[in-house]
Amino acid sequence: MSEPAAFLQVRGLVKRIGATPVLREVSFDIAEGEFVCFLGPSGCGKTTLLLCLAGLEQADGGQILERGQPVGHLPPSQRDVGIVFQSYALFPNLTVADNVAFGLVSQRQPRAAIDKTVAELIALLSLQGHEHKFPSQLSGGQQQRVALARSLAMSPSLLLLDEPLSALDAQVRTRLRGELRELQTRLGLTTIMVTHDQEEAQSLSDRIVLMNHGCIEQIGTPWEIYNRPASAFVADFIGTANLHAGVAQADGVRVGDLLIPCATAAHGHEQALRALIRPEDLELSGTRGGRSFAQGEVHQVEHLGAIVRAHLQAGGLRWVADVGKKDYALHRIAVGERLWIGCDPAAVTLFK
Amino acid sequence: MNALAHPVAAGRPVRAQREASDRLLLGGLGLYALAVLACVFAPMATLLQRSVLDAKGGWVGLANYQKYVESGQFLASLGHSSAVALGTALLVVPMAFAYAYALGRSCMPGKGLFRAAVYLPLLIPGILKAIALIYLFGNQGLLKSWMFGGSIYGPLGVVAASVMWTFPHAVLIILVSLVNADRRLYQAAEVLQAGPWRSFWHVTWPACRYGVVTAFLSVFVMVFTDFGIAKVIGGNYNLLATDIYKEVVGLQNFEMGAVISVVLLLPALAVFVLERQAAGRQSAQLTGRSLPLQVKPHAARDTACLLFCSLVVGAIAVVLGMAQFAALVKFWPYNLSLSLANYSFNMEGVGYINFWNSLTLSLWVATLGTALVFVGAYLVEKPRFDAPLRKALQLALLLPMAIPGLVLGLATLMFVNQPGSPAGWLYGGMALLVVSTLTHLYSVPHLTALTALKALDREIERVGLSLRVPVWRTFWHVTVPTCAPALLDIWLYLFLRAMTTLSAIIFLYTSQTKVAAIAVIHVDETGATASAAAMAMLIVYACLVVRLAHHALSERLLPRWQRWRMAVHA
Repeated sequence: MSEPAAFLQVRGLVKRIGATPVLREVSFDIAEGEFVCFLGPSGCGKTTLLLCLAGLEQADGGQILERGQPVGHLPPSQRDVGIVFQSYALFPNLTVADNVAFGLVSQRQPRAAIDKTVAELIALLSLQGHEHKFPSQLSGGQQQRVALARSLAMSPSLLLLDEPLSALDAQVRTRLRGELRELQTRLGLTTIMVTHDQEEAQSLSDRIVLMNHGCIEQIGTPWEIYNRPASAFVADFIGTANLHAGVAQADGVRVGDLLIPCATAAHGHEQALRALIRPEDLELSGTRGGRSFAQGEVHQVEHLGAIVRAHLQAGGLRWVADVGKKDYALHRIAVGERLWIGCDPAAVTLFK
Repeated sequence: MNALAHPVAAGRPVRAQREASDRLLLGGLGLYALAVLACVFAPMATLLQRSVLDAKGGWVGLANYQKYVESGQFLASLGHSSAVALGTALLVVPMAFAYAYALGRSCMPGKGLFRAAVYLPLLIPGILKAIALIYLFGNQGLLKSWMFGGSIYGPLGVVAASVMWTFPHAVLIILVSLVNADRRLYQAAEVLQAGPWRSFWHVTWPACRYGVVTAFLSVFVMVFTDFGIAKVIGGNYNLLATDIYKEVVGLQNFEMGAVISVVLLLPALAVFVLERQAAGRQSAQLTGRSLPLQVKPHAARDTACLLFCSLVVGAIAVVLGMAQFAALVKFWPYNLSLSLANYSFNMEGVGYINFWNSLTLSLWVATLGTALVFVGAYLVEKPRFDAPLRKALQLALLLPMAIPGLVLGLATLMFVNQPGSPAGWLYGGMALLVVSTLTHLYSVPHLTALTALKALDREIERVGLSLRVPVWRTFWHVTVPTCAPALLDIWLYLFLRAMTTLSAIIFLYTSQTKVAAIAVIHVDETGATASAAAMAMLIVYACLVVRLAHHALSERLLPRWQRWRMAVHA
């Protein structure tokens, strides 16, 4: 067992609010320097989990270990974490510099040392020239950076971010996303971010912890989560999915009147299944091909820049197919056209 | 796996450690709970107990109540108190609604002036309004002929003075519900081709209905339980509040005083419950994203509003002017030359000492009260742990609102003076007056402080904790400065009310601690009404000075201290 101890270990964490379970025996490890996102629909327990890690909520059972030491019982002031909230919660009556220095002043560090740390953080987050402004004078993105600087001032070994980007408009969000990841990599700071935005989670994190109803559905890299979803919920939550209920046959899955060819050896005959095909794996053509399994009618076409997304009706079901520019030109995809739908049997994922 | 070195315990995790500051907050909650017990519950329990005992302290059950009900005085006084309270509420609420509507929903000129003028009666003690009415309509009044032979002493005078006294309170309550309107609702009504009346009934009225109901209930209870006005202008018209005073001060019959107090308390408690329900529904209606209303000019409406408001302010000015005139006139109505003779107070036991006592009392109540109210509101609003004590305290701190001042004062007297009382040493000192007045006035500023605290970001304390900053430091450096305007308002409210109210302390003062408001009553009892007016005017001057200072502070200094509030991202 030469595997290095994980930086953070969570074991069987349970949290109830009243009688309602919010976290049901949640367990996972996080390595030092990792960027992990807690992703899930609202009410899945991801923010509660973050607050438990910060010590701002007390778990009802289970353990939290930091570098092998139990920390679950410690109050927030004795945990080594920094936290940035969705609202940023900047102190409105203090300047940017005073906000950043707030924690340091309370530790009775010498003024010169405080000023030096504050100046470094201001420079690190490109806030030069704003030191003496008040939060209300800053843009959303600047406020977010002040909140980040304020939490970094205490040099925490774990940074917790509660939906830090969701209050910003789309363009600023994309830019800050890049900056945030770059900063995290540079500092090598173990970071956990809560988000409900799957695109954000996929673009930022080393690994995603995908949660639903207080349980972890899957932990994995963004690639694994998208391409090897552990459950139908994950498949449906991440990206766009053609997810249809059917029964296993010898040579495929029967979905309504259609038979989707795929390998069913792992499943019993007539077993109820759900079949997932990603839109980019669906193939459209004007003529019947070897992989075609249905003929459908196009009733909506979305032009999304690099790809064209076609919505079809086939076998009484709705299908979404993404095609590239070339295929679009080739197959004259337009509303009202009847096209053949097919796919590589290997691209079909089955869930019980 | 390393996890094996730390097997998950089958049972509970290690006992959670509390933040040191959490222990402090919990201790604070405990202290407040003790204070509520000592200042509200213990006195009220003593009062209830006294109502079922005889003069020697023997148990008599409900005999005192039976005696009071059968005395005939009960039905008369209950009827009188209900009648004047109902009459006042019926008169005041429509007037207040019209005034508030003119302030909030019209384009009449001089709105700022009218808005300031409505605060004016708040600076005038209720008793002074009664005195002014006597000078206007009394037996030797300037406008006695307007009474057509009727007498101002009695229900008419009580209602008239009460209308003036309660008017600003009602306007302020209704104004809040009128100002918080969403422009989009009116635009929607207009697009759906609703006429002005339909949009009034379906948009304006539902939004301010609870404000109107609350105003009505508040006015009713204020008048039902008030003592000062009834004492000065009530004549022989018996009211519950003056009955208590007569029983306790005149006849030393504390048991009967306790019985009437309970009768006075019950409707006040009922109204308290109704009002809390209305408040809950009102707040549920407001959304954070409302767009402020923009009122368009409308000639007929604006003229009517201007006329009405001028009439109201004119009446207030006449009353205040009359009071000042009365205080300056040498010998009403025979020698109308002016002098300061009435301000010399050469009477036994009355003098400027009473005025200084008032100032001392009010400064203590306002300063100590602002600190206590704010810390108390913080304790019930902010902690992140969920102590049952916190929930209980949330209700308990609003309870003084349900207890008439006169009842609280009598209860405090009984509690302090009972043999072996732990608070006996307080009797006779200014501290007792401060405690009683502050308890009586506590709830309204508590609500103000709660509103201010709720407006702050919920996460501020959490951020402080995660920065390893103790709660009290975040409180002192962030919470207090951001709530400075609310703190100033609370200080002003407590000061003005402490200067002008007397019901909570009428049973508690001694010759050394007699305040001006009580001196007014005593001077008036001797028949020296002009001197009483002069003494009451001293209160008005002090309130006016403080009000102007508050205005200067909040208009000039606060913006400088709170530059961060004005600065907006371009």
